[in-house]
Amino acid sequence: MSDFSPLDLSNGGRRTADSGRHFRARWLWLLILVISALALGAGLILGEAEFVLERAVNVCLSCIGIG
Amino acid sequence: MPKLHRHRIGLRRIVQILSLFLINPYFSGLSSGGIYQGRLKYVCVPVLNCYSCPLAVFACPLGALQNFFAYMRANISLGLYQSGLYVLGFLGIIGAIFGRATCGWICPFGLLQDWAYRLKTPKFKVPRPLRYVKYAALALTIFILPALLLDEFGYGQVWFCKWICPAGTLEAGIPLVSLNAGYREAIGTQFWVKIAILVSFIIWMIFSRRPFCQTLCPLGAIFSFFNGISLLRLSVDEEVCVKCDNCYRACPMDLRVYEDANDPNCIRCLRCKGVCPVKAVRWGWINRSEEGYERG
Repeated sequence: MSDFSPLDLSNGGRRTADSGRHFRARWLWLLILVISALALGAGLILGEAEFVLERAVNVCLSCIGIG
Repeated sequence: MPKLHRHRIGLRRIVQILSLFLINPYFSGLSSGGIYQGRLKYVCVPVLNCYSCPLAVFACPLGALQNFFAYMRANISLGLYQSGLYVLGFLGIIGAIFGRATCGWICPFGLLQDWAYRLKTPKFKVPRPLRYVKYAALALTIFILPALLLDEFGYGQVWFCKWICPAGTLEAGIPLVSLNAGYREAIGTQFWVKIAILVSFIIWMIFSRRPFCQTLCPLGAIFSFFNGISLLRLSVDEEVCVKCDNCYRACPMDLRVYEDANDPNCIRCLRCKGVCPVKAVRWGWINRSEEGYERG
């Protein structure tokens, strides 16, 4: 279990080392999540998953150190 | 050592080991000397795990990203406008939710570094300026060099995989070269450079905590951008914290959690929470009460 949640109002408003970032964080993570999901979807439409598969099913000689 | 601390380390270690086997379950690759070629390789894992490892069943996001940039010019000339959005979007989703927690909880190379550091030897901190090298490695070897240094046919190279990645050397290079005579005959300078880098990091990780994560991992660099804003986060109650530095001594990334609970280098392993004598460290999802305090 986590120690707090978006619905947790229990810390009584005490200052925390992270408090300066929370207003920004509360919305930015959601914005980035949505943008990332859109990027993922666009990548799928553009056939990028097939490209990943094509590269990943063949032995990468560069990764081994001989190509 | 507090009971909670032991519990947290135990849970994280279990998750790390389970992840190691979930990401690398293709044991027939070891007997055949080949790699998995099924449909799971459509999917990237949010950790450094070479897709040419005989055991791996998923794709490496860094390898995939480099290939997108290395093939970008050639693909555009063929009318294929692919720029790695699939991988970047995937990493963005993971980062926005978990920040850099995947480094601490499921990365196999992180597990190796955690284990190596347990050996009883003198210990040294990683110099802080070296932490910025990973951003240069990310920019140069993942994006710039693959996209700009092209051969006569318009193809770039996977620079990080080719010259640096110690995970690839360990997981793919050594097993495949050992299992295939044809690969052994092709060994040259490049292979030995990669072996030297791997050996250097293995020695370093015995003496310092997670040196590869701290200094060179491009994937850690990507996820570090998300730590400050991710849904999963840490916080420290400054009125309770006594700045005893137990967190600093326990932290695998050499951080003081009270300086910045969501430091870009934090891998959310929660060791700081386990060792805190006054329970000032907390973790969870974004906290409305703290937001209210800040706004009020």
